[in-house]
Amino acid sequence: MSEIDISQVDAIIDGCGTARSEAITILTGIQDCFHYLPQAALDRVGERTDCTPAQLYGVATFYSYFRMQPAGAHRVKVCIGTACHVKGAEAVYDAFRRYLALDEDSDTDADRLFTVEKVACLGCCMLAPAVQIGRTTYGHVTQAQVGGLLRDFLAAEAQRAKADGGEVLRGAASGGEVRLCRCTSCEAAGAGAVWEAAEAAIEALHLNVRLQLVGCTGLSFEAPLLEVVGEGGDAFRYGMVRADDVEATLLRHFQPAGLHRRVTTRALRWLDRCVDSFEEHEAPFRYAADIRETIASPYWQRQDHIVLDGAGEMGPLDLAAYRARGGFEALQRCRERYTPDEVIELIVASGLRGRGGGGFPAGLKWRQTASAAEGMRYLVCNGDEGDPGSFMDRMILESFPFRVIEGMAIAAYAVGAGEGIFYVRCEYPLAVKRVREAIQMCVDAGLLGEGLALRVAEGAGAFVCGEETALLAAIEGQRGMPRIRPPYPSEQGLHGRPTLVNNVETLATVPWIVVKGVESFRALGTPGSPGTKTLALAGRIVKGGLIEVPMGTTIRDVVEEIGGGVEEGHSFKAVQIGGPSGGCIPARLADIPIDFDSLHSEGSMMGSGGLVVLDDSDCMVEIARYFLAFSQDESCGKCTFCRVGTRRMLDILERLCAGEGRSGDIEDLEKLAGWVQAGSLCGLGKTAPNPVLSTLQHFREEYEAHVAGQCPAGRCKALIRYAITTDCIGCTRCAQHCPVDAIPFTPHERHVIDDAACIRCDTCKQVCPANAVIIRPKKAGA
Amino acid sequence: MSELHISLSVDGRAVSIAAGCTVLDAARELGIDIPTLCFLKGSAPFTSCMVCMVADDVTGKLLPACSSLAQEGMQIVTTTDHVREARQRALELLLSEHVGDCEGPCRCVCPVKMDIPRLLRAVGRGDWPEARGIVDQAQPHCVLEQDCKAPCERVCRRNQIDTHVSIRAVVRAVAAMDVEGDAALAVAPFERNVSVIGKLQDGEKAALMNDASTAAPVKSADPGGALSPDEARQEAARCMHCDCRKAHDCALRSCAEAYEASQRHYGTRGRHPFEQIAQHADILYEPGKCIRCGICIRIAEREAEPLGLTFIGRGFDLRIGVPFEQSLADGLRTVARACAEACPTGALCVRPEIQHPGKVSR
Repeated sequence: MSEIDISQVDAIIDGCGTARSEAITILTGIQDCFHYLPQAALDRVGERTDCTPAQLYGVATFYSYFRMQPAGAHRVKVCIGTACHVKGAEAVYDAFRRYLALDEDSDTDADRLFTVEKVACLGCCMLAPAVQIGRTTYGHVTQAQVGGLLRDFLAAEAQRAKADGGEVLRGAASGGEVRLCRCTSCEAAGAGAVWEAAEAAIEALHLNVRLQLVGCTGLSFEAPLLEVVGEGGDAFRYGMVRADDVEATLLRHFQPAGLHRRVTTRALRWLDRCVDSFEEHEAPFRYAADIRETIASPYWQRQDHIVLDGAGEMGPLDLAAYRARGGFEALQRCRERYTPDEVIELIVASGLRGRGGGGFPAGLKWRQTASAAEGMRYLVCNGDEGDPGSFMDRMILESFPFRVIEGMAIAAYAVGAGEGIFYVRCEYPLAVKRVREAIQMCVDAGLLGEGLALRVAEGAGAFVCGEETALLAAIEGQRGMPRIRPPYPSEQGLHGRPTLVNNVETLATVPWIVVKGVESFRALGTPGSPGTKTLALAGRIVKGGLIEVPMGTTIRDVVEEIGGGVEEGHSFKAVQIGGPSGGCIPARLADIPIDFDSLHSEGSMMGSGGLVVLDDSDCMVEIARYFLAFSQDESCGKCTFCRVGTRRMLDILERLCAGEGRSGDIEDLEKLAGWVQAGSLCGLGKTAPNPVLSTLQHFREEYEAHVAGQCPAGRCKALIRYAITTDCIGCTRCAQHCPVDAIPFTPHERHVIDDAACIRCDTCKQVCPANAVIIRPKKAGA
Repeated sequence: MSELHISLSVDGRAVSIAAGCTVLDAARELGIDIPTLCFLKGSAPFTSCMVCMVADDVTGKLLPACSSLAQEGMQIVTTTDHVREARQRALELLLSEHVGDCEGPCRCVCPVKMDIPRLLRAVGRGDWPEARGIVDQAQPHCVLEQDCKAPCERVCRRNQIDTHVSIRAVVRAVAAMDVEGDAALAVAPFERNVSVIGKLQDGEKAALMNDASTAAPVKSADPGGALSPDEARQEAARCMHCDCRKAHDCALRSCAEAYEASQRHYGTRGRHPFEQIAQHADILYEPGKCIRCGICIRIAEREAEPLGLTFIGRGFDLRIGVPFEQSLADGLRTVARACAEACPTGALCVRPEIQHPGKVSR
């Protein structure tokens, strides 16, 4: 075992303190420092802190962020969230493993440069499939790009001497303004390079333009999105901008200073264009400049912004801008005009329901916490958004941290909490960073007042920690194992004290309700679910992104009007709402409104609002298997029905997808699902069967087909084979790209696939220019 | 909270109990039995096994009795078909991941169900009265001389390592000896075999050899093939102790019997491999029989073991082990026996040598 520098461990411990509750923070520090948890470091932690060996090892093996084996210099995290899954993330993962020639039981290449692993969700669903290498996220990754991506990363790494660009204002005091979001998903789409290009262009051309970092518009399908506000105040939006386009785009709106420069710039641009046209780009980013998105498009018309107010206009850490839009007015109003009880009654009257999952009335939680035992009370903002397929909490925390902080401060005032903790997933480093900075800015500005301390606690990778009792265990430095409720956290929560746990979006809604009033809030949405809901729209849809619509908007409106429908040539089959706890709603029920109760009655649930659109190429049995595998992997393993029950359900689903289904499997699956639902201890287990039950309810015929050895959607690898039709033009692309050489190289002739060697990775089908590769059922008679 | 009392009913009988008590407390107050596996008296409930399921007729919901707080107006039922089936399903799920036999295969196939593993152990220690007692109890129905075809030897798991134990020869040696059988000996009746290991995978074979002599089969010096007492002892010591060390005081097995839980209901595909950890002088640990109730972890923590035990991993791969994969001997320095005795299954059990101090032969 290699030696480590113990003084680094000591420094981490000194920074975190020695209390038992700091175990996860300390281990995170060690993991970041050494890229794994060296035994010597853990021994040192055992010596110097109150953490016991049992606690440290239990925690280290519970959270997926930690690893006990040394990792390569860079970690390649392939997102296998729902949207990435349906867009072929598993194949991308396999491609990385093949490219790096990894053994079956190894995740690190021989040079110890890269470690390849799967990650639950990077929250970049509309850029699926997404891959994070080091701190860089790449979107729309294809199998063929894998090698190029690693080279690109290493090249960028080599030049990383240049520090990150500053976050706030850039450029001269303004003639006009150029706005760009650099949240995690926009960065994944290439916003960083666009930002640098804009900086360079403004400087080189001496443009009288301000470069402004803004909160995300949620228009992820067009990211990076550059908004140009001319001197007259009229705004133009450019979607999917590439760094190369930036200068030309800016010159369309702004004049360089001085006639000489104007003329030379024009000439140079003309020359550049001539040269460029000879080059073919195969960059990871899509090219399409000049899409002008008008504010009146259906994408915007159907939305109502409460938590996303100021999207695309306001800098995420621009406190003055937030205040100029009325920020912190709500907090001030509460403190000056209302007693804490009045604030609680206001929230109760608003009918605000928790946006994180079950939809429990927020006001009642507040009331319960406020009426619990006197003394220290805590407030926790649940930002452990673990559902694969949702990313609203990330976007809200990254783009509107002040709004969440204001919501926290109001809740703290109402329930009498002295300490507020943001629990944010470590997979969201930018959110963590911005919330920390925003808290500091609020403290410096004296906005939080006496007696309220806010801090961030980072999650270490465990979906179950979205469950509130597990979340509290994690903050206490324990394994995130849920416990039975009651007692509820509002009576006995963090460190045994009354604790209010609310989701990010719930808290971000609070300031609006205080300022605009209960009536305005109830005027939006439905009587049972007032207000708006952010939805993370991803999957097989044209315009994926984050939207905010009034509750009660129908699925059809969201998918077809706002999202622009499914990709051409396919038909809309179903939406998966609510991630692993939710269910699939078929296209024929698309007219049901999206609100807590309607979704529940269809066997789904709101969850946090991830909405993954599926089309006719998606297999519903496979989708159910995917979610069960996720729940099984993320189960804490405590109670029998969840630990073993979900495993036995998964056994059946795996059998079905492998073509080994037996008669009786469907009935067994259904019965077992019922027991897991009824018998599990916490929300994870109780809702884990939902994806199975809802697909059984609406797509039972697909299950029956699998029992008979057929996959109607042509997705389940064991039930299909690839073939090349007479349309083949003999171009050899498929043979060149096949990773396992299953297609002999026969130029100008029809190609043939060796079925025994074929791994069904779909590459040939994707690269074929003549659409000659087709999927056939393995068994005859489909 | 001063003297606050909660009124509820269990199986139709009213009971009043202090606030903060559980449904299990209320039922026990009335003398109503609810089975538990993961519950440890004097420690906060953990709520993992779900065998203590009851239902509240008011809500229709199933609740784990050990940790559900008694609430005003609850109408708890503990004997309905629904409750019974919930317990049965929980047990069947636990059995579906259970690796390890209750009874040895030799006893299962013996027409008279002679407790062969126990007999071999008694012979191995040289405890002739006990050995004779076991043979005598089976003797009335047993036709040792002519008709015994020794099916036990065919199924003996030692065949998978080298050659079976010569069981019939050992039994005959015991029968031929001039020794009084232990009249007070109680041989547990054969119960349904709940759990079966099946064919051992390569990696699993060594695990069963912890308690067995590695010697080759004993060659009898007698031309007729009869074993001398010493030879019988050597041969008997080759028994691998496939039967569970807690075959007759296993809470999981007795619950499974009571609720007619079948191991086959959910199949046994995808179990963890058989494993036996013999790092500790006093106890053996078979993780395949563990139900992850954490009772041993709680005992070690309560008694301030310096290293103790912990949960490792999560999901279906959750297991209990010593921190940093250190030796079980280091993990449990003072409370090993207490843990083994409290373990509701045969996962942790006291080693036979310890159960029979002074009679150790090897």
